[in-house]
Amino acid sequence: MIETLYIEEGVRIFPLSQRIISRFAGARVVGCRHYGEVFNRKSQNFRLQKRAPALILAQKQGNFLLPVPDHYGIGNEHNYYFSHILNCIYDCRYCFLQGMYRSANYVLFVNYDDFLSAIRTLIENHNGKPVHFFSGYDCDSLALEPVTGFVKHFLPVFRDYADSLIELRTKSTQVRALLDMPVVENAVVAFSFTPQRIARALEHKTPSVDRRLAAMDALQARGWKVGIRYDPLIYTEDFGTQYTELIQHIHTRIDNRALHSVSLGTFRLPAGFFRIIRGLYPDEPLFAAGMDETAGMVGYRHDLQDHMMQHCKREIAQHVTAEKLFACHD
Amino acid sequence: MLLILCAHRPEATPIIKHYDLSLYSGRSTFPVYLGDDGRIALTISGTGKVAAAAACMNLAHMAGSGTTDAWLNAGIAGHGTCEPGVAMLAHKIIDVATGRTWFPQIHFPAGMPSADCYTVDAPVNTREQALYDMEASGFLDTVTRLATLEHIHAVKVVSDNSDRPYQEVTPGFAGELIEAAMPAIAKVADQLIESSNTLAETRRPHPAMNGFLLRRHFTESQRHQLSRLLSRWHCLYPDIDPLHQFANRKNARQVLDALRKALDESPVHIGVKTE
Ligand code: SF4
Repeated sequence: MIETLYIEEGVRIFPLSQRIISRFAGARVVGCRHYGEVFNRKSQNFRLQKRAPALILAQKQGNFLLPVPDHYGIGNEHNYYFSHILNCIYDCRYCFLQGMYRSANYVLFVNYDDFLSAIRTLIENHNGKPVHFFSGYDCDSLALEPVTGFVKHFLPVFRDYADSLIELRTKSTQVRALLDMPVVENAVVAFSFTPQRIARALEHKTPSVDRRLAAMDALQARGWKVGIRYDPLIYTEDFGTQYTELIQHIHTRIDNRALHSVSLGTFRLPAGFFRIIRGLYPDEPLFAAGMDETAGMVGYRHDLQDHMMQHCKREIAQHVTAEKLFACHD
Repeated sequence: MLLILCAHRPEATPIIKHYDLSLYSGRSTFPVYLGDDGRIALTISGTGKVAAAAACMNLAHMAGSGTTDAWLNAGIAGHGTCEPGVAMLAHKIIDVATGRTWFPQIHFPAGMPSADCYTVDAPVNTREQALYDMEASGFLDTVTRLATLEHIHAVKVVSDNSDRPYQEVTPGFAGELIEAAMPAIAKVADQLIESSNTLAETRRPHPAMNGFLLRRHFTESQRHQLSRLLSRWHCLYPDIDPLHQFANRKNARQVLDALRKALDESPVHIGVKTE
């Protein structure tokens, strides 16, 4: 699966690096001083690299935690995200990572303990106020779990901070590590969904809606808190029918009372990223039709956004109480 | 299109033969060879990274290369331990004099081992487990300004090692090594051509582009805008010829405005083709 491993010389001795080198014993191993030498280089093509992304093992230096933009949380005042991985094994055509990074290679920061120290310090600096942490902004939190062992390393720490919360956002079915460990009460595994036909058109290489649902089911049955993210909502001619069916399908299958939260937001991208992605995929119809640009964000016209949000909120409200429902927008 | 750089004629000859290239221009300092179908061009630089850089610029100019083209540096190199004849892809190129490095991005099954490649200013006999050549860094330094790192590669065939000094490598032996490695070199070359064609396909001008350019005067910047708008048009309305609808506008600006307005007013749902 990984044919090229780039390794910062400084992290070669980390046990996680050694495990990964053994796991991909057939891969070519290339040393580098700093991951940016490979990852941030000009003259790279994200679309071509997506054919066979390499894995870069690196050490994160500072900026472990970043504040989450307003309106992206789930009801808490203090929200931060962190990225132990940059990029994703899936290939969603609407994904902002395509516009954010020059490279489609995966970067894995192996100095997990530095992330954890930063998390502990930040929580302690908030003097008992609840802090929410989001993983899975610059990657899919679980998709590379068999390689990263992220869950086993990160989640237990949150047992010490019952007022805080960690959200793992995913489209993957890699939940084995979670099923094999005792439940962490203040962790939420949030699955993103679009209707299957839209997923097939735009979410390349992702597990089907039903497989994600089965993974979510298994976690709920085991006592894990799960969330649902209808984000991005994608407009199609039969938008209403497609989303009504999806919402019905999901919420008649899961335990809605035990559900942690549902959030939703329409398709939107920072304008600069939108233009880069349109340049990468000039043959992709999603970027060809007329979108609105407001305050540096490209998305659907406001009246259409409102219509989409209202429709889905109405449908979700038939299954989920209002205090669990959050709208994400810019 | 694939543009190939070789340092010396004995290294180039098996490639010229394999792809049936003919001399396009022998008068310049750097001879240029072309294939009939325009898929491949090759040049010979002479020794060293400065010559390699200059030959690449000359080739780019003569072949009219574009950003979707691929580049390959093929030739012999020393190695610390590998037996002569082993073909290797360079996965990291280090200019020993400056310390600068490049990482060609291997996005295809290479079918051969890979190694670091040190570009030195003079031949050396003391070596690590890596390739040693005299052109690759000049090649990379130049062509990374022209193409993308997935399309820039160096294949080196080991010619000498710690047991067999470079002084023993004759031109004839160099040619034999490349000849014997030709299937491996061609495998890389063919994949680069395929990848370059795929990328070029996504940027191919709309069939109506020329029709617009013949009818109205577009400045260079307006041509770029037109090209982008036409590719959006093609995504949404592959079966409708935009020439009929927009070419009768008074001038280029009006053509662009009308096209943009029509696209921006297109309903967003047609942008999601769900079978
Ligand atoms: S799963 Fe998320 S991170 Fe991965 S490609 Fe899709 S949108 Fe991007």
